[in-house]
Amino acid sequence: MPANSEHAQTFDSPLFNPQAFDASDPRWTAYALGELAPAEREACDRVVAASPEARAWLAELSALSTDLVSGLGGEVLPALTTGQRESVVVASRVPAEGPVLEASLASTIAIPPRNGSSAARAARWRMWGASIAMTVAIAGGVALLPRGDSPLGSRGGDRLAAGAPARDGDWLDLAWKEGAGVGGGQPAEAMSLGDREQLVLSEVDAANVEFGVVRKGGFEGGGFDDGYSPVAGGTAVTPSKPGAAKARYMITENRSAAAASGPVAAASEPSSGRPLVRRSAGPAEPGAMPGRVAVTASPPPAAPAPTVLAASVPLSRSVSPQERSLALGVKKREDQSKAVTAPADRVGLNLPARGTEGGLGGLGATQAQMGRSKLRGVVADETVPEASAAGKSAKRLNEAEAKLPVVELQKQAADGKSDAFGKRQLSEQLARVEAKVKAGQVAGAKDGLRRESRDAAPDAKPDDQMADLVDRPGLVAEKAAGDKAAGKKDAEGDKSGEMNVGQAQTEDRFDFRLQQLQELQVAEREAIQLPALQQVEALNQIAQLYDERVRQSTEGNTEAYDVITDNPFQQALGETALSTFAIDVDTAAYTNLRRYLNGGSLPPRGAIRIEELINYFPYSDAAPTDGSPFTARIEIAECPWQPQHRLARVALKGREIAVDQRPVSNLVFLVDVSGSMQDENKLPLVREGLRMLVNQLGENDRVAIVVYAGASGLVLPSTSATNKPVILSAIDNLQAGGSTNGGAGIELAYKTALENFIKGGANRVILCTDGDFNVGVTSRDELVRLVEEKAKANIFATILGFGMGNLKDSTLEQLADKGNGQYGYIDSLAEARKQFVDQLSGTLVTIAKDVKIQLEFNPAKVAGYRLIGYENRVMANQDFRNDAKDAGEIGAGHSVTALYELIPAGQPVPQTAETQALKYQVATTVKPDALTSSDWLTLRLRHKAPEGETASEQEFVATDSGARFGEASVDFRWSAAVASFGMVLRDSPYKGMATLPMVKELAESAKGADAAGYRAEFVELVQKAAGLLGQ
Amino acid sequence: MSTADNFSEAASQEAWVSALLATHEGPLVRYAQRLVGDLETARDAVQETFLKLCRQDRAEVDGHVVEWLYTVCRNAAIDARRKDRRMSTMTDEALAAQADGPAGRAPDYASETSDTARRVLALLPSLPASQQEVIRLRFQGGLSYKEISGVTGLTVNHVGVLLHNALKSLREQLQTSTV
Repeated sequence: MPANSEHAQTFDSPLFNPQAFDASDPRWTAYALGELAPAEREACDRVVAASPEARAWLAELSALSTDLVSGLGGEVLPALTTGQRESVVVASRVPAEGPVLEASLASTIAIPPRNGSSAARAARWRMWGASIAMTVAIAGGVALLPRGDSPLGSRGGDRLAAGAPARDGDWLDLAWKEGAGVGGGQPAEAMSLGDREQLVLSEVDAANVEFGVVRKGGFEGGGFDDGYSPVAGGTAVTPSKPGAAKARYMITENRSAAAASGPVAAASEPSSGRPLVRRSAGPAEPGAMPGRVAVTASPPPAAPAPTVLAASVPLSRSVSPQERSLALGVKKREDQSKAVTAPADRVGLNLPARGTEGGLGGLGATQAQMGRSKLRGVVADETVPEASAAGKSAKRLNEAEAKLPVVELQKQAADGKSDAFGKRQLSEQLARVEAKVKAGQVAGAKDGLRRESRDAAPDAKPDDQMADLVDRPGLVAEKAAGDKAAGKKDAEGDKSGEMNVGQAQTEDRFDFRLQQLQELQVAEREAIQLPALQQVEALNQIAQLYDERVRQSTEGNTEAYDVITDNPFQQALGETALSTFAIDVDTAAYTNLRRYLNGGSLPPRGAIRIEELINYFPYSDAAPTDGSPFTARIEIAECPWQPQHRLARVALKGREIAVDQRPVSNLVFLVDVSGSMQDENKLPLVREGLRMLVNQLGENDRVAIVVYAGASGLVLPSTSATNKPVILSAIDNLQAGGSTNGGAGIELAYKTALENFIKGGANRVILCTDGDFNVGVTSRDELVRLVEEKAKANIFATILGFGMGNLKDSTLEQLADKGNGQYGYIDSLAEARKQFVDQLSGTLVTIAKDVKIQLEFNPAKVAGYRLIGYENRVMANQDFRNDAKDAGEIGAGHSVTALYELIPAGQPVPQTAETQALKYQVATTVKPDALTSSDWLTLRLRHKAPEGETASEQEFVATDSGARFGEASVDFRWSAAVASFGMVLRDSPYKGMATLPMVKELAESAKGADAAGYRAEFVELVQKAAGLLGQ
Repeated sequence: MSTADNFSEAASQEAWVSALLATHEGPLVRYAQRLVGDLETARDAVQETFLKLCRQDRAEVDGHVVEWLYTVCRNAAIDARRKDRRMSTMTDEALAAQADGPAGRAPDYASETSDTARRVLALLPSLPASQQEVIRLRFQGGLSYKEISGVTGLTVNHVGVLLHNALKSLREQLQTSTV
């Protein structure tokens, strides 16, 4: 057991201060290699001077070192191929773009900046060869040598060659000194983790980030422009919308004091109310709404994550000198004037436990500003833990502003509930930062930001820096909002909560990660003692896990996910008695989730789209037999995570089309061959998948291949599938290299598809990419607009995401949505088979487009409801019959399942700020026949034929049989299990009693036949997640 | 983004990358090859590393570019190895072969390599993989303990222990083989 006993010896003493020489102590080896801190080295020098044994050992070791250096240095080294070297040289001619964060984030985080220059390193490197022999000669007289460097290498170098590297800051002493304890690893690891995760954002990057947020707010807000919404349930104030749905269950009664003189509005218009679930924080509202949020226990509308990082810009750029000194006080970097650093860990913590999900979408520009300013304060606080004055003032604020949600969040953090999720917040944030940086590079925004922060600076009060940081943001917000008191108060209130939670979480998360790393170290130590063969395997596994951990905080986090906020409960009364959304058959979120869990980590919350998890699984719902494109089945039973509630499962099943009846297809493969695609699980998997697909095609099908990288090109003109060898060899010749200009490639692909358009056939562009568009049209909105435009020509899109590391999930999902297509994520050959072969007809053949679902609840039976998932698919009620509004597509044989959590009449419906009742009216009266009806809800489906422009509508009615959960169908129970899994992983406020063990139990009892093994795999994933979350 | 500034920046970027390529290409390929066991995969990993470097803001890595290269290269190599494993189930023999790796064969040396140095190198494959790796990083890559720690994700302490054990066992084996 040599390794273990040595560990114990090594790390017992905090400072290495040897009294005698001990060759078995690794610190002596470190001494010989010049790795000890000066103080420790001096102690060793003294011992060596007195010990002939030590000198002999030293001489021997240096001889060995010399041999190693010369031996390894003399190896004939393999080189890159000429082609590879050229590709590098070519790539190096493209100047690095400022905000390419993929690599820079990774490196900046991964590697602590250091003082030694590369020249110094090279010197040290060379010295090994040149000077060690000399050192051996000197070694006998070690004690006589001047202090200052290694007795072996560098010291000899000192004498031989002036300019040996000074290596301040490189000392091992940190590790040794802090390394008390048996395992000894953690404190040292803590240091290196802390260093490693320094997050440096250049000013340019952050400005772009900021812009992304602001624009996003504006973009979403634009959604409300399509028409005025009636203030009441249909007053004469607004023009009535054509085709508004008739209320089945309600008469709307207008008792508005304000409208007392007006006519009571027509009862036929309740559905044309304002958008239901969408956040509606327009510029006029932020003053009032956040205040309510603070009082209720709902998740506060936290500022979107990227603003956290953006917030660091003004700190260095245009703050008062006091603030600057505050911020600089703890910076570890030298070039502070250029960038602000904040430990990424801490940045990651600035969000409240649930606040991450505070919708980006609904935040108007005002709130975005408030968010940014608010967080500016937080960053400062987190960056300056020692600044006691600042800390105190922050505390004062906390006390003054302590409110229910704050307390609750603190409690959660203290309970350690959030530690596992904290890690994800970090990664989510990094991911989003990068996405925004890449998406929004507009100089104007930068200027605007600078101007704004300059404006803000004069408000600073030098006497109380922290309060100043807190106040100023408020002022910025006020200017925009025109509501001084409310805006300011909100900024402070939210902020104080975030700070506390942030601090508590720092420790939680740190412990969590340290514990994991420590376990790995223990495992590695044990593995070293295994027999050779097992040892290799074990060490490899450990190395992978290590790699994964490091990756989590660095490279892996260039993935981009949007923020998801759970749909809240709505009253089944008045305008909110209707729930409208676009269907979605995507399944990528599940595959992606699987990839995360199999890789030993939890996915970012933004990556968990519950509807995609549910829709991944095949269900046994019957397909239509009457020629209609789909049928619906509705089932209501007990809700497993909230037994006093009911759960409604709405399932659509698309018509099935046998492979031989599939319409002729005109396919254009659009393949990303950029450098980022060269990983084994990207391009090679693309080739495999395409090969499988091509082998399924018939003689009338046509295939073209367009590639895009730095430039895009048609590598295979549209070719009949009778020429399979030609197509297959074109697929085999796909090679990665270059940067990505997705925009031009998409143009070319659609052009090719249009040129070979088959009327009545399946015309489709199949995009295979990791979505990492980094040249040309990179703005997500622009890309989406491009695809949306092309989709109007009845060319559909299938978007297939590949690989990991820089998957741009949110971009791809949106492309598929707008391009009338599906989005799948392929992580393995098995998944490629599922997408390309097993579900071929569904993937290729759209049987209906713009499919919308509207449910109307009978208030006599249902007090409130909540749509589970489909957060980004919720539509305004009046858009249901607006056929110009794009919605979801459904492919042959696809099933779509939606779950609603229902609150039976008589039970209270939890209110949030968003769902707050109207001020001037008590909305409605239930129609008499609804009171006696047994209906719980009516489902309306609206869709267009794939190439049609007119929509048709179907209606289904459902009642509650009163079934207990156990009496529900297998598919009902299965989808409930999957939904609860998603809610638990997302830490949804609505998860109720759901826990992972419960999910597992539900799932195991609802596996059904499960021929393909999908459900069994799900149970394994639940198990893995439980392990990761410690449940 | 296309000003004169960018041209000169591009030129210096190219020179910078070329210089790094000249110095580190060989050691990195060798290092990656030890990790993945296959020269082609190793080359790909190194190419990927340098391609990433090209996209890298130079200011961010200056001063620790060697550590950066090894870290990125290691990640790429380990990624590749992991994917290999997923694609094809490894037999025990294949694993053993990989463990020995190319080192199982006699490595090529430049002619000036001394006999003792050759003997030392011949002993390297007898060490556990993790020890071989740190030995290479230290004596071939010239990385400090702390840099090795950064590259491998091990703690500095652990790196110290691995190197210590490696040197110790090499010394012992040298002694027995000389005696």
